Amino acid sequence: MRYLSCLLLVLLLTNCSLFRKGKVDVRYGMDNNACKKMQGKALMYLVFVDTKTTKPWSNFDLASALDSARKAAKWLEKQAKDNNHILNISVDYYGSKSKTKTISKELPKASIYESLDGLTLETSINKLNKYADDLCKKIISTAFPSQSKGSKISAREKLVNLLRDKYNVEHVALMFMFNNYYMEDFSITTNTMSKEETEYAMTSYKNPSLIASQVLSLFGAAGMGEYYLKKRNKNAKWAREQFPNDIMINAFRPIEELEIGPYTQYMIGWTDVIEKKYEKLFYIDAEKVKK
Amino acid sequence: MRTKTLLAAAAAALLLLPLACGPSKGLADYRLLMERNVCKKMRGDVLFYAIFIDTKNTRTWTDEEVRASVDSIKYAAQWLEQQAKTNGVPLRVKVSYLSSVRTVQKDLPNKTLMATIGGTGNENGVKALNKWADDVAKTAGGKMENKANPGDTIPVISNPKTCERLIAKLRDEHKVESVCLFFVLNSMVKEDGAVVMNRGSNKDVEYIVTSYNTSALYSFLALEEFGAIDFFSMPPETESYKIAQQNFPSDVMVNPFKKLGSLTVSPFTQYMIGWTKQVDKKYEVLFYPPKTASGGINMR
Repeated sequence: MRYLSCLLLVLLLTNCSLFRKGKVDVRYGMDNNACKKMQGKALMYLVFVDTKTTKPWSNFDLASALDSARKAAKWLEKQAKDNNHILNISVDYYGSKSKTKTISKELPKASIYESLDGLTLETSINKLNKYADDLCKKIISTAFPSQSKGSKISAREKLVNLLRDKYNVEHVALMFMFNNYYMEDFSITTNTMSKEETEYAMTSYKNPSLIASQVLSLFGAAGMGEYYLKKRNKNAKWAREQFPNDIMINAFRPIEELEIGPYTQYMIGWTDVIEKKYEKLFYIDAEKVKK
Repeated sequence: MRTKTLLAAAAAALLLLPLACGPSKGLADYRLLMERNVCKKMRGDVLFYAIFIDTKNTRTWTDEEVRASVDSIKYAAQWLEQQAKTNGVPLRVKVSYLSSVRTVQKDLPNKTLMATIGGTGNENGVKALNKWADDVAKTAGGKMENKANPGDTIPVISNPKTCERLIAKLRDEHKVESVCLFFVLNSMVKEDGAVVMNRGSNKDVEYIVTSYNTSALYSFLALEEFGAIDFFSMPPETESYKIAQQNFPSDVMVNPFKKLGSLTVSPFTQYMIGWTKQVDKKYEVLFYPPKTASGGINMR
């Protein structure tokens, strides 16, 4: 797992107005999109996707991935409680009440990593957005057949709206799960700062820390730079010293050892103020992100 | 000494993997093999699964020999569990084998394991052995039951046709994350070698082919699948070999031909297989494969 060092990638692009003087301000992801402040009722909605290049979901893998998601949800709830916030996260998945548990749909390229390797990151994300929309259309047509026609909004947005109504929740973390039990690939969250495109996650592994960190990312948490900038980046190194056990820096450590640090708490709306010294982490070099 | 040479095939297999190695095309850092492929950290529930193979060039397995080998694998499993317990690591190793038939008959691509895989840069040998393993898995898969577990919601993997599908089926059936798949050759008289295949691969699934049937060797090979470094096959003149022999003489990865009861899993190997989070800084030099003229692991 350590091989692809930037497995957890937060894709910032899709809204060029976020970039000013070559810097992007990660606060655009706060209180935004399908997952706003991390409080109240939320739904983690998993979609198990089969492709020809990832491995088909088996009973064991599906069950253990669900266990991990539930563990992640409980951990997030406990972290919220410990910090005096009310958070209830339901976990459900496409097909939980039907015979068909998975959806087959080929990725734009062989892997998430390769799918991102396009001419520009924008075009790659557009392709992934279309891919996610195609999956959502399939979900809507089988899980909400009466709602499957006539809509001007994207299938992603429509599905999120339908899920909010059905589960009576404010926030929906839409997560597409891929089975890579022995292979390696990226896990990404995308559109987290967009005002137009609905956000979602694509998850390549079933470890609870990774799943929890992706949910946090959908709620506005930022990766503090180390995932998309080089390790020698000063801010990333500094963040690691400041928050040695923050989950947004350590998505592959056991979840029991981790916490949600002050910076991440601010980003997900648990606190209203943040120490001035942490403000430098708000800005990420957009050019490096694009590269 | 002869057995040393034979075991070096394991190292050869490493070099041939499609791994993002350094400019020398050799493995740049052994830590790149940690937490990879099917067997990541050696903790929790693990399955050792054996398939006994008959070839024209090996002795035909008898029932008694199969039983003795299964006992050796069980002892290796118990020993690893005990080592883990001693070091405060939860580990439960289940042992199973293809029991619907005594053996699968399939000749190696080039008569012997060493002839098939031996030597660095033998990409064709790796491909040939992977195909051989898939063929064995297909035959074995055809002999397996396809019964569903209670509560299954997805159709069971029926009659797997490749090594990967076989391992997926075993993970599903036994509810384990990690599977060590052993293809065991009967070389009671004529030893051939042992290889851990594909452990750095992002494409092919890892497995073991062995003609050694001792508990110590089963432990050694299983540990290697989980990321441990094979010090035994390193050239004796290398610094890494000397450091390992001086500091961890009882480590199974250093001296796998001793009796298992006299061996241990050293702190360094414990780090490589995910039992500990840190290793003494003075041993960090061991992360880097010994240099050779071709820039990879040296071969004898």
